[in-house]
Amino acid sequence: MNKISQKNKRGTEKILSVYWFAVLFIIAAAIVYMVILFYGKPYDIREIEARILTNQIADCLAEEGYLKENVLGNPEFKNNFLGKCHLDFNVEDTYGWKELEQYYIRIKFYDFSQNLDLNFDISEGNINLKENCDKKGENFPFCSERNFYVLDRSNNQYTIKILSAIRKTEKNV
Amino acid sequence: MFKNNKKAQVGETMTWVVATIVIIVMLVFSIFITSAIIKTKELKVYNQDDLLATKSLIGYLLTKDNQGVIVYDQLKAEQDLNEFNGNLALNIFKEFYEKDYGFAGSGIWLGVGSAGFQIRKNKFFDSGPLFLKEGVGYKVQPSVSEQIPLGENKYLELILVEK
Repeated sequence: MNKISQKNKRGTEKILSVYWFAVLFIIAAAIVYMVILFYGKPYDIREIEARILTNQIADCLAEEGYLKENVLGNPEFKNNFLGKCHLDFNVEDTYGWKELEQYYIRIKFYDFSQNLDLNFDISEGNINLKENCDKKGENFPFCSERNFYVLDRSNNQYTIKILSAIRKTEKNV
Repeated sequence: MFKNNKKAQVGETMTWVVATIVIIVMLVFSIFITSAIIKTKELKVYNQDDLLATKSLIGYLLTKDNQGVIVYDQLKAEQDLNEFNGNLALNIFKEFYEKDYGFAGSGIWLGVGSAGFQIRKNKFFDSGPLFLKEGVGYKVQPSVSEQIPLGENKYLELILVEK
């Protein structure tokens, strides 16, 4: 009788150790899965990038509360906007980014008091990004449209609207 | 004897089964939490300043009224918002920044006060219940706070609070 009991005990221990291995394996697999899930997804820094881009443009257009001279209505400024504002839209040569521009910016000037478009728009980069600005999803660009108020030296009031769109979905989403 | 053994084994097995279920539930819960976190895996920047709002504020202070007096001088003389500069402030700050700073309905406040003053509703900007300064601190930390000295310990203050 004692022998049978002992055999039973050994059998139970074997089953328990198999069970322990199974539980350990499940826990380890779950931890690995959670780590991959968390660290496998990149941080989306496009909001910060768009803010920096917008700030750089705003700094280039206005200083000390006044619109810089030779900005509004100046075709030379418009045509050499990127150079004048020290912007470079070149990106690293990965995911075919060289062929497909990853940035788009558009600046619109309005008369502040009448909200009248002054028809002096400056735009650079991949215009197709703008079309997807209202869409939400992993494959769509991040867009930010911000305004600021500025005067010229004759005390004329303007609203400047800056739209910044950044694609770079492969590295941020 | 065998019957007793069997009962003990069933009891022990039940304990392990329950333990396994508890472990699996905890793991599933952890995975669920991880998935929820990665959905919001964005680098959130809590701005201490907003360049565009600051530029707008400077432009606002330089704006002249019909008599050719700039807003800064008006505020310095009157120590409060008047019809002209109050409405101008509404048109600029509410119009441009409400979508970014929409805390408790409206996270935008502009007004005149002294150091350590209590932000209170003025004719143009509502303070909002959670937006009041308590002593020298804020009940809700502003995302952006710009102070323009108006002399004699008085300030024009622009406060923006994100959603």
